[in-house]
Amino acid sequence: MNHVREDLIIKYIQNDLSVEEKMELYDLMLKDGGFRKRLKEELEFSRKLRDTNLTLDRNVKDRIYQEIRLRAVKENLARMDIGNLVTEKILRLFMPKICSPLFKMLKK
Amino acid sequence: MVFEEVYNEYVDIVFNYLRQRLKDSYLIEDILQETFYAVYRNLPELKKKDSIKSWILSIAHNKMVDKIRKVSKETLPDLAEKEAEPSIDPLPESTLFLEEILQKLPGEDRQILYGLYVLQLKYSELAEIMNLPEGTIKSKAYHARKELKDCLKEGAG
Repeated sequence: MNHVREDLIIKYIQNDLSVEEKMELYDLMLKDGGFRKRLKEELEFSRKLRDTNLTLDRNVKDRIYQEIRLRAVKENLARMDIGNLVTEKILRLFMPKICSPLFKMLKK
Repeated sequence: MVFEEVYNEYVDIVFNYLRQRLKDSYLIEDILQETFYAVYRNLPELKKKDSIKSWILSIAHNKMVDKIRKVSKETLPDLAEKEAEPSIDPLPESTLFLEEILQKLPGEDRQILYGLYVLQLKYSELAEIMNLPEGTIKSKAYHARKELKDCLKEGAG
């Protein structure tokens, strides 16, 4: 079977046929016994392949999710700390001495 | 879309995609975490994407390739082909035969067939995900299907 016919079958399985391709497919189904047999085989194969699908264990799924959230929180905290440190340095350098008690109070 | 929804909807899809190529469940878990962390960080980009599935799978594919490369350098050259770990539920008896035959194909070919038939990805989407020309994907799919068909015939005979 040539590539074009194979592509037609794949597109049929994926429900992605254009109107012209649908007509071509039905025409082949009516006229070509070999094509019909191949289409049947491919549909069967597709169904069997879907059956090999596994579901990831719920515990593993939850663990991965929690680790991602934790990682995100840690990264946000780290980013905030750097931000705070930079702000503090700048304020200390440029703020007049008189503001320093106010700064301490705000920090608290 | 909220991250939790994206995660719950796509984690099994990515898991099964990676499973076509990798057998080590710890490695798969690691790549899943890396992939979905990248998804989490780039969540605003989601709205711009035509296909969320392809976008997530291409992240997973790149992470997988990086990991295989890294692992190969770290004295564990056959880690990608290591036996499945028990934390993954075993397949039902009826599909074991097909699974066994699929294992005879190269990992990349398995991913292509899985992408076409199960994930319903177009050749162009697979080409983008796997960083391969569309023609290569088509040709690989054609040969993998032919090989598989021969194996199934042998098995049935």
